Amino acid sequence: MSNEQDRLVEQATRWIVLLRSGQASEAQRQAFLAWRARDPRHDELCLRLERTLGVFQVPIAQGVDGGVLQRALEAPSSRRKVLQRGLLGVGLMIGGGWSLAPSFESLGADFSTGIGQRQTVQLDDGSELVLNAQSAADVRFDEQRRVLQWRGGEGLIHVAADRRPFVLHTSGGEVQARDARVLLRDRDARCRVGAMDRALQIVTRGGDRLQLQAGQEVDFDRYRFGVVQALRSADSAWVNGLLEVRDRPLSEVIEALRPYRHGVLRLDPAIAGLRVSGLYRLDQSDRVLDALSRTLPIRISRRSDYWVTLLPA
Amino acid sequence: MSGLDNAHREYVGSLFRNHYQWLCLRLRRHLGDGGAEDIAADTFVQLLSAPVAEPIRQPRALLTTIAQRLMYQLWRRRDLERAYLDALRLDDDAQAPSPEELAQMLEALQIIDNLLDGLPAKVKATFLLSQVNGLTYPQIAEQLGISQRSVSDYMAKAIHRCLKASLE
Repeated sequence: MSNEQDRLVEQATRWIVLLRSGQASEAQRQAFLAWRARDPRHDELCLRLERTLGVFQVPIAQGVDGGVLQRALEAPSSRRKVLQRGLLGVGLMIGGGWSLAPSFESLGADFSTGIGQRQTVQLDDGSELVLNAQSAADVRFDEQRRVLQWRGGEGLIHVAADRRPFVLHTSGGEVQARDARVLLRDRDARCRVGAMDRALQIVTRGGDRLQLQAGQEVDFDRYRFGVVQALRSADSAWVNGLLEVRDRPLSEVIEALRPYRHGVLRLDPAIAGLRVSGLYRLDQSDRVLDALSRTLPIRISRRSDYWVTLLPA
Repeated sequence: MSGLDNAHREYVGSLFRNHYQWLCLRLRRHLGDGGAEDIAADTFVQLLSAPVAEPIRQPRALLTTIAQRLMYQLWRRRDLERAYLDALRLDDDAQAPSPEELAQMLEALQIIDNLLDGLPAKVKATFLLSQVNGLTYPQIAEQLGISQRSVSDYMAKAIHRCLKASLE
């Protein structure tokens, strides 16, 4: 960008910041209009800005609050996004100058499932990774270590035997495993890890350590461990597309259904603690809700398929 | 259509025949069946619309780069969707959107995300309260608990970014 263009952008920024304040005088408003009319480039820049900002008509027309927008934009931005920017910066430099040679190694390392998708992946070392819906992980294997960076969601990892240690990075800390099956859930900075057949080492980000024995599971975050409990077979039922609950709060069922639903699903806090038992199909979440409404004192308000609220009956 | 365009189309066509299956296979590992074909097809569409001056020395490296970028965009879209739905769910005043409105909104969110990417959270918050809620600087200062001077500074950062983006 030329110096002249930079200078224009600086000028326009000062004007627009002033006009947006809600405190600009009529004289200042007139002065801005005069500035804009003085040079076709001034007017062109203002028009371009209006086009760029046109995208904000969507939230404004839908009555979406700026605060809601802000929270959505705060979606955890992973390393991927950094990469994305980097690649955008490179642009499509096609031709003789094309010397950047990314291999599929870097692409070969990242996995992600969308809403309602489950996926099984074979890793290079013979390990197997099963991702529940709305889950993501990056694989970083080198000569010394096998690192699985968990980006969120739920997974079942069958760690193959190998001379290199296998380390699972989660939001709460690290899990070390060897030739073991590990059950993991990591959502909203809360982790749950289950040792299905071999003991695991867990170290929180705060440095607390725990040896989890086979057949045990534990909740933790970066600061502390919860109580160690017996692993429930129901915890891995999602691998088969099932949701199995025995005397669990309704809120837990709803949380398990969320990754399977497009749209908003709201739960009235008054009924969040109702106890639920049953076996449900994750892929048929609407039917699950209907079934729940028949057995519990709740009713379903469907304003649209995308907006469902569970209320006390 | 110029001769150059025709040559480019033919060239991309030959790349497609030689590498499409390979690309699908590599992508399928990450995206499952349906998603892989979509991204692979989009990759060639992008290549078709890109200006090419000389023959591509390493077609697979280039295809990988484009496919990677498209995949990152898809993943970011998923992240934004989940975060937006969560934010709506937790906002008591939020209205129920229709499926069309939701789709429109998610598309807009991704554009806004790119536009404001990298700006500090306070700058984003300030700008959105001005741009979307139409608040004055004193109102924004009160709502965010910051000085009016900060509001002006943050607005300048955001507006500057938007102006720069307008010139690209």
